[in-house]
Amino acid sequence: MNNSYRNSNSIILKILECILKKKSSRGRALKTHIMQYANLKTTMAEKYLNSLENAGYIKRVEDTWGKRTVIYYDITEKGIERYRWFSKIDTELEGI
Amino acid sequence: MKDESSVNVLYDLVEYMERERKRLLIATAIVLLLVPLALTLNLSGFFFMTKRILLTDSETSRTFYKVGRSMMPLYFLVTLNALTSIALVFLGIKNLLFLKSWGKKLGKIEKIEKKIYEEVIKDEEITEGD
Repeated sequence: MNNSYRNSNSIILKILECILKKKSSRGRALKTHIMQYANLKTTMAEKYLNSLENAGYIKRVEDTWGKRTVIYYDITEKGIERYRWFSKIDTELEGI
Repeated sequence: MKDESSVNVLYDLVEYMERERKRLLIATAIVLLLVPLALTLNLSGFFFMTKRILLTDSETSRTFYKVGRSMMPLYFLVTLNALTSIALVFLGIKNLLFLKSWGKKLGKIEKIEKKIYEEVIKDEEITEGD
């Protein structure tokens, strides 16, 4: 039906889900976590993360961890809203 | 982080529903085409045969009249056949309407997916080969 963008959507939503899950457990979503969760290679992960950042779904946050600087990703309001859209699919399927 | 992603579960479900919808549509279309065709063939065959038996001055025809055998059981069978066919067509149409509403829901899901895809990917090319 719409396989052309289903694969990309699946990755996008998995990235959002990963960040949300980390956030709910008071953790930080690092690139490695996202790569592992969405099963992505480094280059692909970077491209998706950049696209999501450009679209305003996520934001890159720099923080210090001891002497090191770590970059983690946080979800924006828009990202949360889009993830909620995805959750609506579940509602749409009700009653079938 | 090793738990099953809800994205995977939901997409598996949506894909399964799309496949099943196609199968059901094909099955319903076949039933809706074949049932009226079979009924027409049965009815025309029956009327053709009874007309021939009753009109022909044959041994069979005479036996029918002498014995006074009624045609009622045959008419009953034909009526039963027609009623069954009508019921099947009715169920088929009901199924089609259900599949139509199912299709609308899948269409809504597609719209959500399209919107997200357009917002994020736009003209950027992200392929597996990258």
